[in-house]
Amino acid sequence: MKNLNKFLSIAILSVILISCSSSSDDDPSAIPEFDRSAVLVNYADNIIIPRLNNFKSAVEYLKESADAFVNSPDLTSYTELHNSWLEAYINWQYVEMFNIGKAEEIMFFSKSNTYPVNEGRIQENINNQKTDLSNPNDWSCQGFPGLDYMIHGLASSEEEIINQYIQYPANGEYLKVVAHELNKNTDLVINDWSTYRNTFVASVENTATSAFNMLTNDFVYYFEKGLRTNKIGIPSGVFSNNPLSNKVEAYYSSKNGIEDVSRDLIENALNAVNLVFQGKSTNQSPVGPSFKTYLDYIKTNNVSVEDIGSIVVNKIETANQKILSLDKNFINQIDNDNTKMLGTFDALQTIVVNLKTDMLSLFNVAVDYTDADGD
Amino acid sequence: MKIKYFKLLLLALPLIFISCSDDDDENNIVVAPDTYEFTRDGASTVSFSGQTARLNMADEIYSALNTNTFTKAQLLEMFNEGTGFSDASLNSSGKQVGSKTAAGCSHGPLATTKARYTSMLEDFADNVIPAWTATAANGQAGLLTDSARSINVNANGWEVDQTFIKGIIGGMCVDQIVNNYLDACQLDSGTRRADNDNGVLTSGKNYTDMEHKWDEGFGYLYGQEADATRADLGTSPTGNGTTLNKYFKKINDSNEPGLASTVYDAFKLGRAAIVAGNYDVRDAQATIIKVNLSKVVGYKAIDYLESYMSKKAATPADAVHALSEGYGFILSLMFTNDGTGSPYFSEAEVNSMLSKLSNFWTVQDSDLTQMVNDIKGRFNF
Repeated sequence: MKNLNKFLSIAILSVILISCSSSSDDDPSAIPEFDRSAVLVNYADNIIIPRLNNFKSAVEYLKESADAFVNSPDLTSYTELHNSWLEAYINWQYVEMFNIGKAEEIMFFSKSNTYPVNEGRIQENINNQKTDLSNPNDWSCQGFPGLDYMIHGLASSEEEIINQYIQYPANGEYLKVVAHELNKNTDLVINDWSTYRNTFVASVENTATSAFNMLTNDFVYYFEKGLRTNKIGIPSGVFSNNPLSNKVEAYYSSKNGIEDVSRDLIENALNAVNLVFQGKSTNQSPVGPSFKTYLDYIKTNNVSVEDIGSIVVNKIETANQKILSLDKNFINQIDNDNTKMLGTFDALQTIVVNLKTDMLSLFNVAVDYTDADGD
Repeated sequence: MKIKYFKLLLLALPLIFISCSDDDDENNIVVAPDTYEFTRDGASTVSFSGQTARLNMADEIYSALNTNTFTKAQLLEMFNEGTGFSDASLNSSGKQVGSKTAAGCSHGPLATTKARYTSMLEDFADNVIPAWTATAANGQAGLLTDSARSINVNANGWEVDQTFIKGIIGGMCVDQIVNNYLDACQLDSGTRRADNDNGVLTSGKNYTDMEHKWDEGFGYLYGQEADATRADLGTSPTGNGTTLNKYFKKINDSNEPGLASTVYDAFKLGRAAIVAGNYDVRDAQATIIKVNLSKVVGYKAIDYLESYMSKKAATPADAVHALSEGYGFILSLMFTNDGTGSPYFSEAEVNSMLSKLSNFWTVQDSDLTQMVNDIKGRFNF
């Protein structure tokens, strides 16, 4: 009987233990600690800072091209200006998601890529020779979309646009203000990283304000809003009653037949996301400490977890194929066959679910932004 | 000895529970009220007028699809803008059916699927209305008549009012409940859980965000009940309206008696759990509702496919009417939720079924039988 009692006690104890094991799924301490700092170090040193440096060079060149064009507006300097705008805009796609530190503080994302632009307000700014663009109402009057309007939207052909600068020096002055403002903001962000870097890589605790949690949220938020919603969802009418082809990124360049770049921009944006997700500095680099290796690590320690890392990588490739099937001119694509845009949206949306629902819960990171309900 | 051991077990039982309470949830005992009435400081905290408005809008769009008097612009206005209705209170409600179609937060906006709904409205205006009295044939919209009924169909034989409204049952009603308001992506979004714990009320309202989200889910099922606080709401839903409540009642009256009470009791207990701050109980009730409302869609999809096959020889128009309803319920399958967050049939699986139903004039009974069997298997019917 004594033995039986012992057995029963153990049996009861194990029931107690078993009854608690389900809750350990939510408890990150149950598995050996993953080194979140290694992810941040890789992101800071091999991705964020190098990308910002590339971006800085491109913006510097854009600023110089703007100065040169205003100084001597002709087709050669115009083409140079357009090319430098595109080069910098493509580089921008690689840094927009890092809305952290100084970038967040100065609203770098909003100042650099808010579209569609407010044409009427830009015209007022030109007429008033405005130089201070710090008012939030001026976010839609500056940055790359503002430059898109100034470089491609003042008239409907290159010759006429150049003529606008020859005839009205105020246009040139505003173009320079916008280019210099972008350059100044870029300097602020990149200079701050020289000191912020060490704070950043050490801030791995699981709190709403830790760098790891904020960067993770920024990444997911960017994918959902900056990439999916702004580049595809809004212009294709997912959030409105009709397609709004005038809300595509780089609208004026396509509209006036300068160069169709909307697809190139999102293609690069998705590539930028893919590299961050896998922790690669370039497409040729090996996978480094990253969201993906963190997900893989969790999966290794818990076989019942889905292979979210591989699922996301595969879905990004599927979405990329959808993007490559689109017309380079998004205005034409939306006006002629919007279903392809909707299909691209769906391909991106399914990734949002994996990142926002699956990845964040596996990381035990709380979403720090709320969906608008409209109710 | 046996008795001693039993005592030991009794002693151990509370240990089992205590040892699991990683938060305060289990200490909050939840008692469901007799009816769906909840108050704070003597005033009701329950509100779902926006859901009632959308259900009434869906009814008016359905009516419009049974006449030839609306233009395409008018139909799209009703769906997308939420204006243009005969009931003026709807026009000023600020609500829309379109923005809540294929839009549950757990999967996010499904753009291609949502376009199916607008395409139906456009097709109806562009092709069905102009052929209002023509004779329908394969590739030709028009009237289809038999001894049982006369229906207007599109070039593929769809009775669009049916494909649309049955699609809305899943795409709006079920989806908004099971993949939106009863999901963590709404209930626990942002600071809602902390706010609910701390009694932080929605600005200018008498409810917490979380309480209200749950009630909005309730509203998509019961929003057209004249009195949602009556004592027999659970056992006797009226079936008012043209959408979910109508078929919820039918299933309760035929395929699965008791389903209505199960869902109603879960809504009540889950709402009481929110008041008590017991989220384990809340989520258990949400799962019950998700599974049981999904079954309504599954049952009706099967019923209408079988009905088509049994009627088509004697009453082909009546059969096509049933198949149109079946099409809408198949479409609705992707908006179900098996309780784990997954639909019983994925969007891709539903798309594959719908492609076999694209032309009713050439649809194969073998395909329909396969679908019936697949649905029965998946739901365990």
